Amino acid sequence: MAAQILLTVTLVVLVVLVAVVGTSYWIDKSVGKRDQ
Amino acid sequence: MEIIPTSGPHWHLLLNHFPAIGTVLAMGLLLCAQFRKSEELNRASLILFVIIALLAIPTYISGGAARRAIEGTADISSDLIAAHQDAATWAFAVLLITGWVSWFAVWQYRRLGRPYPWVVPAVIVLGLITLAAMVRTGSLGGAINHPEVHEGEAFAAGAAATGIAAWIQNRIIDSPVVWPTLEALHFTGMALLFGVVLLVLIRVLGIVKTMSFAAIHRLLPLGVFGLVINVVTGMLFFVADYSRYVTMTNSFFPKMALIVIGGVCVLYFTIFEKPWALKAGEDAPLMAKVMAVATVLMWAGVITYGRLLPYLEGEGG
Repeated sequence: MAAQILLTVTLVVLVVLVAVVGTSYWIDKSVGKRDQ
Repeated sequence: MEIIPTSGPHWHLLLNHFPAIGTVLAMGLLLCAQFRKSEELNRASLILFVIIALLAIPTYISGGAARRAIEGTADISSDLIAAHQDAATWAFAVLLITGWVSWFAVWQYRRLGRPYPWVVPAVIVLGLITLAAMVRTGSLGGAINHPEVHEGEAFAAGAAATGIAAWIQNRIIDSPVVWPTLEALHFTGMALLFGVVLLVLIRVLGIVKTMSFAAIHRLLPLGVFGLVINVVTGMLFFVADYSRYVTMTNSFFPKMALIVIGGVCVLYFTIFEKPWALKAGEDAPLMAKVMAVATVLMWAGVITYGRLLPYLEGEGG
């Protein structure tokens, strides 16, 4: 059970982090284009 | 007579008006803004949506305290309370999304001078859904203690609980994985938000003067993402185990108040002209410095109170 919890937590946090940072990067890039 | 509420149920009686009436006001302003083609009205209504979304957090929380206080009382329908909580859960979820998109629009107003073309129409649609959800929530909430207003079978039939709160509670409590995952996400969200808030502080205080505030402003969506993660995960904790949280009047309730104030502080750095105009090498105005310190203190308080919750558990903790 401990291994399942560790794996799930790690995977979910990684996916959320990638999604959040990726979306923020995309927002910054698309806003930067309109900024020019 | 108490002017300032001292209990959770009393706070709920006061706070529940803000999301309900606030949504009506914000929607009215937003629709007027479209007819008058007024950017100022647009911005005002979007800011109002963000503030209402923040105020909805203590409103929902104090609702849990009210439930605990009156559930089981004679002449109070448990089914009606459950239906009201379910309606409030849906209303909170959609208001959170509306507030988030509104914040994004306000951020774009500062950054680009106007938001993307799809953002304001999206807020209008979300705002209308929020309004419908608020009307249902308010109607059910009012009926709990005012049977003279809503009588008859028609209202009782329409007041059936959707079961969303119980469903969330069961999913979280029954699983050994969900709670630890939510905890990890809660910490991740706070790290994102606090990291961005600290960067705001070091620039505004002049510790790092080599960049303009506009460079820091670009990071605000990342911090607000963190805040949204925290609100979602935090509310899931609350729905799953509300009766434990509402007893912690000296730790959990102050934490909720600090979140609202901390959120308003972030809004200041999103929209106000003075910090935005700060060029590389320039010294920030005193107001911006005070707000930066206040922002960090608020969120440090949220972290501290949050961390202490397990140690202060129990009535009055």
